[in-house]
Amino acid sequence: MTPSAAAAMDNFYEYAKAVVEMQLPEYFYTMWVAGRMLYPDDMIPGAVPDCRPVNIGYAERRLITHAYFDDDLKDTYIDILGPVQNGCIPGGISITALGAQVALNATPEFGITKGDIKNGYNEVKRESVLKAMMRALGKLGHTLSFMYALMKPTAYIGLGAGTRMTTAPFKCSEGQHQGSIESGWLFVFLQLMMHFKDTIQGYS
Amino acid sequence: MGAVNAADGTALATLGCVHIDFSLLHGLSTSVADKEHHGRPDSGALFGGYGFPHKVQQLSNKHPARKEEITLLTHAELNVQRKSLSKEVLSWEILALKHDSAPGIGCLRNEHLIAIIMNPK
Repeated sequence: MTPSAAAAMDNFYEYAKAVVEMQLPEYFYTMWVAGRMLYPDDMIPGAVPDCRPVNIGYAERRLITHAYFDDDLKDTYIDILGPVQNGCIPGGISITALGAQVALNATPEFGITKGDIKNGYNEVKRESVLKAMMRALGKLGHTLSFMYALMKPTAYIGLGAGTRMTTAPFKCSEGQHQGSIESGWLFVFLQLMMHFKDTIQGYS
Repeated sequence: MGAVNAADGTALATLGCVHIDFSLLHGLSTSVADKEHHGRPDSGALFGGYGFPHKVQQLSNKHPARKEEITLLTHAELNVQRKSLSKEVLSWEILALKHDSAPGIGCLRNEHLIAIIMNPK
Protein backbone atom coordinates (compact mmCIF):
# COMPACT_ATOMS: atom_id res chain seq x y z
CA MET A 1 0.00 0.00 0.00
CA THR A 2 1.32 3.44 -0.88
CA PRO A 3 1.82 6.03 1.85
CA SER A 4 -0.95 8.18 0.41
CA ALA A 5 -3.38 5.25 0.49
CA ALA A 6 -2.40 4.52 4.07
CA ALA A 7 -3.08 8.13 5.00
CA ALA A 8 -6.42 8.31 3.18
CA MET A 9 -8.58 8.05 6.29
CA ASP A 10 -6.50 10.60 8.20
CA ASN A 11 -6.69 12.99 5.28
CA PHE A 12 -10.41 12.48 4.86
CA TYR A 13 -10.96 13.13 8.55
CA GLU A 14 -9.02 16.40 8.35
CA TYR A 15 -11.11 17.37 5.33
CA ALA A 16 -14.38 16.48 7.11
CA LYS A 17 -13.30 18.53 10.11
CA ALA A 18 -12.63 21.53 7.90
CA VAL A 19 -16.07 21.12 6.33
CA VAL A 20 -18.03 21.04 9.58
CA GLU A 21 -15.98 23.79 11.18
CA MET A 22 -16.82 26.06 8.21
CA GLN A 23 -13.19 26.54 7.29
CA LEU A 24 -13.81 26.18 3.56
CA PRO A 25 -14.85 28.99 1.20
CA GLU A 26 -18.46 29.80 0.50
CA TYR A 27 -18.38 28.37 -3.04
CA PHE A 28 -17.48 24.97 -1.61
CA TYR A 29 -20.72 24.82 0.35
CA THR A 30 -22.66 25.92 -2.74
CA MET A 31 -21.35 22.81 -4.46
CA TRP A 32 -21.82 20.64 -1.41
CA VAL A 33 -25.55 21.29 -1.04
CA ALA A 34 -26.45 20.73 -4.70
CA GLY A 35 -28.91 17.91 -5.17
CA ARG A 36 -30.58 15.70 -7.70
CA MET A 37 -34.33 15.55 -7.67
CA LEU A 38 -36.79 12.86 -8.65
CA TYR A 39 -40.49 13.42 -8.65
CA PRO A 40 -42.67 10.36 -8.24
CA ASP A 41 -46.40 10.99 -8.01
CA ASP A 42 -48.21 10.82 -4.75
CA MET A 43 -50.57 8.03 -5.72
CA ILE A 44 -53.69 8.68 -3.70
CA PRO A 45 -56.72 7.00 -5.30
CA GLY A 46 -59.13 9.57 -6.60
CA ALA A 47 -56.85 12.52 -5.98
CA VAL A 48 -55.24 14.72 -8.61
CA PRO A 49 -51.65 13.41 -9.10
CA ASP A 50 -49.24 15.52 -7.14
CA CYS A 51 -45.52 14.90 -7.37
CA ARG A 52 -43.54 14.46 -4.19
CA PRO A 53 -40.05 15.81 -4.60
CA VAL A 54 -37.30 13.40 -3.56
CA ASN A 55 -34.02 15.21 -3.23
CA ILE A 56 -30.90 13.05 -3.35
CA GLY A 57 -27.97 14.87 -1.84
CA TYR A 58 -24.26 14.47 -2.28
CA ALA A 59 -23.07 11.18 -0.72
CA GLU A 60 -20.25 12.92 1.10
CA ARG A 61 -22.68 15.37 2.67
CA ARG A 62 -24.85 12.53 3.94
CA LEU A 63 -21.86 10.81 5.50
CA ILE A 64 -20.25 13.82 7.14
CA THR A 65 -23.45 15.32 8.52
CA HIS A 66 -24.40 11.89 9.84
CA ALA A 67 -21.11 11.75 11.74
CA TYR A 68 -21.59 15.35 12.86
CA PHE A 69 -24.97 14.52 14.42
CA ASP A 70 -23.38 12.23 16.95
CA ASP A 71 -25.00 11.01 20.16
CA ASP A 72 -24.07 14.16 22.09
CA LEU A 73 -25.72 16.46 19.60
CA LYS A 74 -28.77 14.24 19.28
CA ASP A 75 -29.10 14.24 23.07
CA THR A 76 -28.98 18.02 23.06
CA TYR A 77 -31.82 18.16 20.56
CA ILE A 78 -33.79 15.53 22.45
CA ASP A 79 -33.40 17.56 25.66
CA ILE A 80 -34.91 20.55 23.89
CA LEU A 81 -37.56 18.79 21.83
CA GLY A 82 -38.46 15.82 24.01
CA PRO A 83 -41.03 17.39 26.31
CA VAL A 84 -43.17 18.62 23.41
CA GLN A 85 -42.12 17.30 20.01
CA ASN A 86 -42.03 13.59 19.34
CA GLY A 87 -41.22 13.83 15.67
CA CYS A 88 -37.49 13.16 15.90
CA ILE A 89 -36.92 11.54 19.23
CA PRO A 90 -36.42 7.78 19.65
CA GLY A 91 -39.74 6.00 20.16
CA GLY A 92 -41.61 9.16 19.26
CA ILE A 93 -44.41 7.39 17.41
CA SER A 94 -45.14 5.08 20.34
CA ILE A 95 -45.06 7.97 22.79
CA THR A 96 -47.52 9.90 20.65
CA ALA A 97 -49.90 7.00 20.05
CA LEU A 98 -49.91 5.75 23.64
CA GLY A 99 -50.02 9.28 25.04
CA ALA A 100 -53.08 10.13 22.96
CA GLN A 101 -54.74 6.89 24.01
CA VAL A 102 -54.11 7.54 27.69
CA ALA A 103 -55.28 11.14 27.40
CA LEU A 104 -58.53 10.06 25.74
CA ASN A 105 -59.12 7.31 28.27
CA ALA A 106 -58.60 9.72 31.14
CA THR A 107 -60.72 12.49 29.63
CA PRO A 108 -63.27 11.13 27.17
CA GLU A 109 -64.56 14.63 26.42
CA PHE A 110 -61.25 15.43 24.68
CA GLY A 111 -60.91 15.08 20.94
CA ILE A 112 -58.05 14.63 18.52
CA THR A 113 -57.49 16.55 15.33
CA LYS A 114 -54.90 15.86 12.67
CA GLY A 115 -53.39 18.68 10.67
CA ASP A 116 -50.74 19.15 8.04
CA ILE A 117 -48.71 22.16 6.99
CA LYS A 118 -48.93 22.27 3.22
CA ASN A 119 -45.45 22.12 1.76
CA GLY A 120 -44.12 23.25 5.13
CA TYR A 121 -40.82 21.41 4.77
CA ASN A 122 -39.95 23.25 1.57
CA GLU A 123 -41.22 26.64 2.62
CA VAL A 124 -40.07 27.13 6.18
CA LYS A 125 -37.83 30.18 6.28
CA ARG A 126 -34.18 29.36 6.78
CA GLU A 127 -33.61 32.71 8.41
CA SER A 128 -36.18 31.76 11.05
CA VAL A 129 -34.44 28.44 11.67
CA LEU A 130 -31.08 30.14 12.13
CA LYS A 131 -32.55 32.81 14.36
CA ALA A 132 -34.22 30.17 16.48
CA MET A 133 -30.99 28.22 16.75
CA MET A 134 -28.63 30.94 17.76
CA ARG A 135 -30.57 33.58 19.44
CA ALA A 136 -32.96 31.54 21.52
CA LEU A 137 -30.89 28.89 23.23
CA GLY A 138 -27.19 28.80 23.85
CA LYS A 139 -27.12 25.02 23.66
CA LEU A 140 -26.84 24.91 19.88
CA GLY A 141 -24.56 27.90 19.38
CA HIS A 142 -21.59 25.66 18.62
CA THR A 143 -23.41 24.19 15.61
CA LEU A 144 -24.56 27.50 14.20
CA SER A 145 -21.73 28.09 11.76
CA PHE A 146 -22.11 24.71 10.04
CA MET A 147 -25.89 25.00 9.82
CA TYR A 148 -25.43 28.51 8.43
CA ALA A 149 -22.99 27.18 5.83
CA LEU A 150 -25.55 24.58 4.73
CA MET A 151 -28.51 26.92 4.58
CA LYS A 152 -26.96 30.09 3.17
CA PRO A 153 -26.39 28.91 -0.43
CA THR A 154 -29.27 28.53 -2.85
CA ALA A 155 -28.85 24.93 -3.88
CA TYR A 156 -28.53 23.88 -7.50
CA ILE A 157 -31.04 21.17 -8.42
CA GLY A 158 -30.59 18.68 -11.23
CA LEU A 159 -33.56 16.72 -12.56
CA GLY A 160 -33.22 13.14 -13.71
CA ALA A 161 -30.05 11.07 -13.63
CA GLY A 162 -26.67 10.60 -15.28
CA THR A 163 -26.21 11.96 -18.76
CA ARG A 164 -29.91 12.72 -18.98
CA MET A 165 -29.79 15.14 -16.08
CA THR A 166 -31.05 18.64 -16.72
CA THR A 167 -30.92 21.83 -14.72
CA ALA A 168 -34.12 22.54 -12.83
CA PRO A 169 -35.76 25.90 -13.53
CA PHE A 170 -35.64 26.63 -9.79
CA LYS A 171 -33.24 26.33 -6.90
CA CYS A 172 -33.68 25.06 -3.40
CA SER A 173 -33.29 28.37 -1.61
CA GLU A 174 -35.84 28.11 1.16
CA GLY A 175 -37.02 25.33 3.44
CA GLN A 176 -35.10 22.27 4.48
CA HIS A 177 -33.38 19.85 2.12
CA GLN A 178 -35.46 16.73 1.71
CA GLY A 179 -33.56 13.72 2.95
CA SER A 180 -30.62 15.47 4.54
CA ILE A 181 -29.63 14.49 8.05
CA GLU A 182 -30.05 17.83 9.77
CA SER A 183 -33.36 18.79 8.15
CA GLY A 184 -35.69 16.81 10.38
CA TRP A 185 -34.10 18.10 13.55
CA LEU A 186 -34.11 21.71 12.39
CA PHE A 187 -37.67 21.62 11.08
CA VAL A 188 -39.08 20.19 14.28
CA PHE A 189 -36.93 22.53 16.34
CA LEU A 190 -38.34 25.55 14.53
CA GLN A 191 -41.93 24.41 15.09
CA LEU A 192 -41.19 24.18 18.80
CA MET A 193 -39.60 27.60 18.91
CA MET A 194 -42.45 29.19 16.96
CA HIS A 195 -44.97 27.66 19.32
CA PHE A 196 -43.25 28.80 22.47
CA LYS A 197 -41.64 31.99 21.25
CA ASP A 198 -43.44 34.05 23.84
CA THR A 199 -42.30 31.93 26.74
CA ILE A 200 -38.70 31.16 25.86
CA GLN A 201 -36.37 33.72 27.25
CA GLY A 202 -34.24 35.49 24.71
CA TYR A 203 -36.35 34.70 21.66
CA SER A 204 -37.28 37.64 19.49
CA MET B 1 -19.62 22.06 -8.67
CA GLY B 2 -21.57 20.08 -11.18
CA ALA B 3 -22.47 21.64 -14.48
CA VAL B 4 -24.93 20.24 -16.93
CA ASN B 5 -25.35 21.26 -20.51
CA ALA B 6 -28.87 20.29 -21.48
CA ALA B 7 -28.40 21.32 -25.11
CA ASP B 8 -25.96 18.63 -26.08
CA GLY B 9 -26.55 16.22 -23.24
CA THR B 10 -23.04 16.38 -21.78
CA ALA B 11 -22.42 16.75 -18.11
CA LEU B 12 -19.24 17.80 -16.39
CA ALA B 13 -18.41 18.13 -12.76
CA THR B 14 -15.44 19.13 -10.73
CA LEU B 15 -15.45 17.78 -7.21
CA GLY B 16 -12.45 18.88 -5.25
CA CYS B 17 -9.51 18.20 -7.50
CA VAL B 18 -11.22 15.46 -9.50
CA HIS B 19 -12.66 16.35 -12.86
CA ILE B 20 -15.33 13.93 -14.01
CA ASP B 21 -16.70 13.54 -17.49
CA PHE B 22 -20.05 11.83 -17.09
CA SER B 23 -20.07 10.76 -20.70
CA LEU B 24 -17.48 8.17 -19.65
CA LEU B 25 -19.95 6.87 -17.08
CA HIS B 26 -22.71 6.39 -19.58
CA GLY B 27 -23.20 2.71 -18.79
CA LEU B 28 -23.33 3.29 -15.05
CA SER B 29 -25.63 6.26 -15.35
CA THR B 30 -28.01 4.36 -17.57
CA SER B 31 -28.23 1.46 -15.18
CA VAL B 32 -28.94 3.80 -12.26
CA ALA B 33 -31.60 5.62 -14.21
CA ASP B 34 -33.16 2.36 -15.37
CA LYS B 35 -33.26 1.07 -11.83
CA GLU B 36 -34.94 4.20 -10.58
CA HIS B 37 -37.30 4.11 -13.51
CA HIS B 38 -38.32 0.55 -12.78
CA GLY B 39 -38.63 1.27 -9.06
CA ARG B 40 -40.90 4.23 -9.69
CA PRO B 41 -42.48 3.85 -13.10
CA ASP B 42 -43.83 7.38 -13.14
CA SER B 43 -40.74 9.13 -11.85
CA GLY B 44 -39.64 10.61 -15.14
CA ALA B 45 -36.05 9.95 -14.10
CA LEU B 46 -35.13 8.79 -17.58
CA PHE B 47 -36.17 12.00 -19.21
CA GLY B 48 -34.63 14.58 -16.92
CA GLY B 49 -37.75 16.67 -16.88
CA TYR B 50 -38.50 16.60 -20.59
CA GLY B 51 -41.94 15.27 -21.33
CA PHE B 52 -43.26 16.07 -17.86
CA PRO B 53 -43.62 19.87 -17.87
CA HIS B 54 -46.56 19.72 -15.47
CA LYS B 55 -44.41 17.89 -12.92
CA VAL B 56 -41.57 20.35 -13.30
CA GLN B 57 -44.11 23.13 -12.76
CA GLN B 58 -45.34 21.40 -9.61
CA LEU B 59 -41.78 21.10 -8.37
CA SER B 60 -41.15 24.72 -9.13
CA ASN B 61 -44.25 25.73 -7.18
CA LYS B 62 -43.03 23.66 -4.26
CA HIS B 63 -39.67 25.42 -4.17
CA PRO B 64 -40.38 29.10 -3.69
CA ALA B 65 -37.75 31.81 -3.88
CA ARG B 66 -36.14 32.93 -0.66
CA LYS B 67 -38.57 35.04 1.31
CA GLU B 68 -36.11 36.55 3.73
CA GLU B 69 -32.42 37.09 3.24
CA ILE B 70 -30.21 35.22 5.65
CA THR B 71 -28.46 37.51 8.06
CA LEU B 72 -24.71 37.22 8.07
CA LEU B 73 -23.22 35.78 11.21
CA THR B 74 -21.91 38.32 13.62
CA HIS B 75 -18.32 38.44 14.76
CA ALA B 76 -19.35 37.02 18.12
CA GLU B 77 -21.27 34.15 16.52
CA LEU B 78 -18.32 33.30 14.30
CA ASN B 79 -16.00 33.25 17.27
CA VAL B 80 -17.99 30.68 19.20
CA GLN B 81 -16.15 27.39 19.65
CA ARG B 82 -17.40 25.26 16.75
CA LYS B 83 -18.50 21.70 17.12
CA SER B 84 -16.28 19.25 15.30
CA LEU B 85 -16.62 15.54 14.72
CA SER B 86 -14.89 12.49 16.03
CA LYS B 87 -12.66 10.37 13.84
CA GLU B 88 -13.99 7.25 15.50
CA VAL B 89 -17.59 8.18 14.70
CA LEU B 90 -16.67 9.10 11.15
CA SER B 91 -14.95 5.74 10.62
CA TRP B 92 -17.93 3.93 12.07
CA GLU B 93 -20.31 5.84 9.82
CA ILE B 94 -18.25 4.96 6.76
CA LEU B 95 -18.44 1.29 7.63
CA ALA B 96 -22.18 1.60 8.19
CA LEU B 97 -22.86 3.13 4.76
CA LYS B 98 -25.39 1.26 2.68
CA HIS B 99 -24.36 -0.23 -0.63
CA ASP B 100 -26.11 0.56 -3.88
CA SER B 101 -27.70 3.81 -2.68
CA ALA B 102 -28.67 6.34 -5.34
CA PRO B 103 -25.93 8.90 -5.98
CA GLY B 104 -26.39 12.66 -5.86
CA ILE B 105 -25.55 15.10 -8.55
CA GLY B 106 -21.84 14.32 -8.81
CA CYS B 107 -22.40 10.56 -9.07
CA LEU B 108 -20.25 10.03 -5.99
CA ARG B 109 -21.41 6.80 -4.44
CA ASN B 110 -21.17 5.34 -0.97
CA GLU B 111 -18.87 2.69 -2.39
CA HIS B 112 -16.34 5.43 -3.23
CA LEU B 113 -16.39 6.56 0.39
CA ILE B 114 -16.12 3.03 1.75
CA ALA B 115 -12.98 2.61 -0.33
CA ILE B 116 -11.30 5.28 1.79
CA ILE B 117 -11.27 3.06 4.83
CA MET B 118 -10.37 -0.18 3.10
CA ASN B 119 -7.07 -1.43 4.36
CA PRO B 120 -5.46 -4.72 3.43
CA LYS B 121 -4.04 -5.01 6.93
